[in-house]
Amino acid sequence: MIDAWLKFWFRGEDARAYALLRIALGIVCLINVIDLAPIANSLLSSKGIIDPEAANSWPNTFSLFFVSQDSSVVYAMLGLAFIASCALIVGFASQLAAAVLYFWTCSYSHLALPALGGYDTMLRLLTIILMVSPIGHAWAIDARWWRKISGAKRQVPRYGLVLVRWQILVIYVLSFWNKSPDTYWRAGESVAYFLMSNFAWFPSPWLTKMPILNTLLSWGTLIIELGVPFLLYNKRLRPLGFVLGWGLHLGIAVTKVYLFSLVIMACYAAFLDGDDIDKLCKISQRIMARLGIRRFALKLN
Amino acid sequence: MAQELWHSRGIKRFGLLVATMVFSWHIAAITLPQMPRNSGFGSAPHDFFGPYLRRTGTWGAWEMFTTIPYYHYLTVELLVKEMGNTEQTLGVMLPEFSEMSQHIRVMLYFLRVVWPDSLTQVYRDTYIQKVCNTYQEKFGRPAFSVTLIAKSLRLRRATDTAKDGVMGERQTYEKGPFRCKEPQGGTP
Repeated sequence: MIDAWLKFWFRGEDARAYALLRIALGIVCLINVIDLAPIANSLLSSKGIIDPEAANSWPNTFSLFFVSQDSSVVYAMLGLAFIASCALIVGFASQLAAAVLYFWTCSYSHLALPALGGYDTMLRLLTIILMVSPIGHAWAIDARWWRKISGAKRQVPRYGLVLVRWQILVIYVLSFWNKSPDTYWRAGESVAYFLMSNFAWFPSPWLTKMPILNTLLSWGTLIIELGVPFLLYNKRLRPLGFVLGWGLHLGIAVTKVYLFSLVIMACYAAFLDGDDIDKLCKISQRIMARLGIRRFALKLN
Repeated sequence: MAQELWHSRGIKRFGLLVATMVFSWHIAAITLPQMPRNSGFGSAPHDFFGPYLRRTGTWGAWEMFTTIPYYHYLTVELLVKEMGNTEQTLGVMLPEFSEMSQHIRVMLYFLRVVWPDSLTQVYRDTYIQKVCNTYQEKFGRPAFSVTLIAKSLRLRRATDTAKDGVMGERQTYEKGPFRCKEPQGGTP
């Protein structure tokens, strides 16, 4: 019984699944830093729109900006987060980089509560998992160091992937649960409103003239949200889960909440096993070979 | 290597068991408080896991886009009154009083400050006071009150938009005036 329980959490899974997750989340963190930079002073510094007194009214939280909101601190932290994102992508001091990003994300989140989106919650939840997961054993500068310490590990304990998978399941199921009672989602009208709203990059009324398509897209969103996590858990149906889920999130990415789409799409890496990654490697090698980037393609395995 | 890990014995096995307890706790903490507070469980899961979620920064709700957005365009301005009825309209971005950025984070911030809930009410109160303080620093005169003016193009019904292609209709909302704390002088 205890063996089965331990096996559930610590069974070996392909280290490249963690690597893909690490790289993808590193890229999202980098985009988030770049996205925040132009408004960082207005949002986070003492001269900006948020007073830490407001944030302090929420107990048991921590933030570097409770200590200092000087502009130099804001930009230093932004710079550190930029470096940590790059380190996460290349796998250099990976867990430390994840820890820095966790601290950065918590710091701005706990100060600027009204300026947050679901993607900030995701970043906090994911960086804390990456901090304690074996993310530097493949496709990482750290992998050389790990090889010297304990030999190359193709398989690493899967607990971090289990936690990310569960998180994704919770998000999708709750998203469906919360949307489904809404009149507009039920009537199949919602997507047209999003495309016309101030959340769209280029607001347009084109979908209002196609009510059937509008309804299919709105209901399709609900069906995909409910179905995707279960498709991703199933090895045979996983490719369908990827196509439907990424399709949905690429659609959402045409709005200003593109970061949410990116962070969720990155998390799909946690569902991949060794066979899936081998197939992806072969596909990418073929593509790279055609593009004449053979040297890099050979290194992927 | 990993397969050997769960076969381990002694203190290492105990350590792994403790780790699985932590993982299970985390899973329960990110899942159970998502139950509605008006369910039979009431707010017990929120109260129980709340301190852990706040201390670790793992709090959050998954209520994105639960209904349609309301605006095709939204900007917020400030109407700042001084003593003696002098008033001026300013942008909301501090410290320059520049026009509201259309960055998603700034939009979300002002949506929640203009129409606050119990959690963001304190952000509105402190924002208003920051406006008052910044005004005095910038213009050398104390502000007496601040009004938030949200100018919007509110989304029309999709069926109406389909007929003429017009997405929003003008609507202006005024919140306030909110008095600045410790005004120097009498009433305006």
